[in-house]
Amino acid sequence: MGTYILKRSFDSLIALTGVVILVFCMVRFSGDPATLLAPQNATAAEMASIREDLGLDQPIWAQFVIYVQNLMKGDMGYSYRFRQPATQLIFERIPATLQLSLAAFAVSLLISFPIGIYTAVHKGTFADAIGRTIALLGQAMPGFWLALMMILLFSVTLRWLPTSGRGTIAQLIMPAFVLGWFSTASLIRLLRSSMLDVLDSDYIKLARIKGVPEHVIIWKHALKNAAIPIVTILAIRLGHLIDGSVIIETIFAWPGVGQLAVQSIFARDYPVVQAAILLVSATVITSNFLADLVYSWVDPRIRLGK
Amino acid sequence: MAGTTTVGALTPPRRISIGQLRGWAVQAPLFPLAILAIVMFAAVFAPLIAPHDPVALNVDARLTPPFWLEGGGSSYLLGTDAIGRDVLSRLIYGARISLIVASITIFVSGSIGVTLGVASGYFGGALDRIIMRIVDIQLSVPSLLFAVGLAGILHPGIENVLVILIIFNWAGFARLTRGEAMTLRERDFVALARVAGCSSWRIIFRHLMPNLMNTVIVLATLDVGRIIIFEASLSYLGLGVQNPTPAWGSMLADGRAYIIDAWWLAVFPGVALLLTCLSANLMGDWLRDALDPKLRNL
Repeated sequence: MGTYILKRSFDSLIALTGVVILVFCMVRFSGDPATLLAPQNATAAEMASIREDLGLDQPIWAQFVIYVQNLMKGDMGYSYRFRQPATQLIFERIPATLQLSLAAFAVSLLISFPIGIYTAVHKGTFADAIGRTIALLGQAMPGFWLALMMILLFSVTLRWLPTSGRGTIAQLIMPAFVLGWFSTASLIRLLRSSMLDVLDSDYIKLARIKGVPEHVIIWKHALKNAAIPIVTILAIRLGHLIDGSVIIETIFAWPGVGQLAVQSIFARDYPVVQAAILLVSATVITSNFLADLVYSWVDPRIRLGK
Repeated sequence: MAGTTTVGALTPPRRISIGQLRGWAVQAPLFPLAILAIVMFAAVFAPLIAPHDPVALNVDARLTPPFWLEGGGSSYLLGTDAIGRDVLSRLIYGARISLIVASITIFVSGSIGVTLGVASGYFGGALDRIIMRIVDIQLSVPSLLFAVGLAGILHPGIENVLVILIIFNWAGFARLTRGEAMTLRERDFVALARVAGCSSWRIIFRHLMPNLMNTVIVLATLDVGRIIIFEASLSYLGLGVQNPTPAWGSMLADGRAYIIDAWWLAVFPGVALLLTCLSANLMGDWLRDALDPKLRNL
């Protein structure tokens, strides 16, 4: 287990390094930051001094070293727009994104588990067909369109829920449902096929022959094993949810990291954009790493190389 | 798995015969095929079938509802938007953007991914480790957020949407074909080819690639819906295809602004997206079952 953890941490570090290099290149692509920082009528000398302050007069590799050193100190630059450290801006927005992602996560679990299990147990019935249709629709329906349709139905027509903002539970319902929707569909599919595999196995047949009650077979024997592959997917899903919140937050004006990132892009406030990308990537990579650890702990075949 | 018989051990896995193709064609799902045919027809013949110029303004007819509602008429069947452009014509032209983006992305990223994946799986060693590391990085970054950042920095537009989609899409092809190539490499027909003096490149192109094609086609089809939705998301955020060019995603963004007064602006482009992606996914599922059942969990 020790070597496995070590190997996986090394992999994650490499991935993080890759992301840092990518983001660094992206920022260099974006043009000369000095032109964004300097006042419009700045002289050439003033521009040069801003470049010097930012370390832009140095060779590219030296700039990269400075960049990484700053990252280590948690310094991701200053927002041009807010004149505040970018990290501070992001951290202020993290609770909102986390709240939304976790709510969406809960929504997708609450919907997908009952449906996934039910459709597997009642394979081939009408209910199974409905469950599979939901799964299919989930993967084909763009989240932002579902969001618009829900706004149309619940806000414009029925006037039950507010269209945007954050603060009340009512404002959380639609964004959480829409964000959880995509995951729900793939979880239903996965859980159903995983349950079907397990229900078809010999030990379940033996349990049936022994006369174990059906609900014990399903909830105790089958679900436990069927859930193993789901564990990994869940953590990866959490990463996807945070990624997907970029667009859902924008639609519902939910004041999270995603909305900040999109607004910053249009304001050409690149330090905030890169801080958002770095922090979210780090979160996703870490959650993947933890998922692998949990997975290898639940199922020893993984770390032993199958 | 094909080729487990004694004869099969020396022959390449089965290729599809004409008879089998005919058998499958009978079972092909009609609904998704019909939808995809309509979308493709609309995309190719847009100038001939669109009732209006998709970018022509008609301020007198702004926010005209669809024909079955009061105030609607036969000249604008699905209504008009806030500056009087015909929704139906924009939908028809929008199909072009979605299909062009999907086909170019899949072709280019598929070629890159398959080449790297097969090379990685066949040669192994350091090349394999490096390529797979890059694939891992690629698959672990939050793609939408990265795309938003890149689109903003590279300046929005369809060319950059393509670049972004290709950057984010090749890794899936590489990972899948690498695994397949590793399995095929150990098969007897490849060993025979090697003994017969075939070069590595000849083995890759003559013996591995044809046997990988089924898998690649299945993955490519299943990717269509995902790519169309990704492009629509970027266009929705204003970072993809730019006004006045009609794209389904940016039409929906306009629809968001007028959702209280003109519901049809937010409904029709979404229906087009949903039907197209649903059909592509159903086709993918069907192709997978027909060509390559072992990919069931894809």
